[in-house]
Amino acid sequence: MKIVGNRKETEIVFNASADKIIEGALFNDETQKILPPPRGFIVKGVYHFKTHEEANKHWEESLAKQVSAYGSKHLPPRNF
Amino acid sequence: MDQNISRPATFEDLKKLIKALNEQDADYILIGGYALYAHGLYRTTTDIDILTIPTKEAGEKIVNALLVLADKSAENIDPAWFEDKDTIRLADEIVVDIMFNAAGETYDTLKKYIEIIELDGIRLKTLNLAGLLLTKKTFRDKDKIDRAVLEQALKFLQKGK
Repeated sequence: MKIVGNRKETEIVFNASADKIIEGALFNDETQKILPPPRGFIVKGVYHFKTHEEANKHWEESLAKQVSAYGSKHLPPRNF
Repeated sequence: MDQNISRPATFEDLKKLIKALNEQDADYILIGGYALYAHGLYRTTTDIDILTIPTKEAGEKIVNALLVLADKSAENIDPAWFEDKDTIRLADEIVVDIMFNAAGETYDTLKKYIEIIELDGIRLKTLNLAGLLLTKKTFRDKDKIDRAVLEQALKFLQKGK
C-alpha cells in the first residue's frame, strides 16, 4: 500500500466535545456552500410519520424531486 | 433561492435552536449528524434531529422553542400530537426532525448516556459514543456507514483503556 499525503483523519472520541462539534458544523457549512441553490430539498410544512421508514421515504423522494428539477432546468435534455 | 424549500441548517441555526430549547427548559437530546460531529465523525447533514419525551407538556416546550425559527411554522404543531409518538418533521427555514425513538431507543433508555457540553456559552445535551451508536442501529444506508465507523472506533477506544 502506498500512502500519499500526510493529512490526519480526525480522531473519534468517546465523550462529546464542543471543539469537535464546532469543527464538524463549520465543515458542514462550507460543504453546503458548494451546492447550487436552493441547496435544501424539503418543501416547507409540518409532516407526521408513523414510522421511520415513512420519514426516510419522504426524505429520499424530496431529494430525488429536487435533483430531477435541477437537472431538467440546468442540464441539456438526454435520451435514456 | 426557492422560498418554498427549507435551506440546510447551519452552525448558527444549531446554536439558535439549542438556546431556545434551553430557555424553555425542554427535555431534548441532540442526535443525528450534529451529534456525530461532537465525536469527530464529520459527514454532511442538512437537518437538526432531536429526541424528546412523548408528552403534551414536553410538546408545549419544544413547540415554543421552535417558534424561534423564521417562518414560525411550529404554530401548526399541536403539542398533543407528541403523545402519539409519531415522528414530526418541521420544515421551516430549516428542517428539524422531532423523534420519540431512534432505533427503538427512547429518551428514558438513553438518559444514562447523556452528556452536556458547552457550545459558545450554550449548554447542549447530546450522547456519548455508546449511546449514539445505539441510535444508529437502523435500516438506513447512511446509518449503516455511521455505525460501522462508530463500532470500529468504540472497539479501539475500549482496547486503549
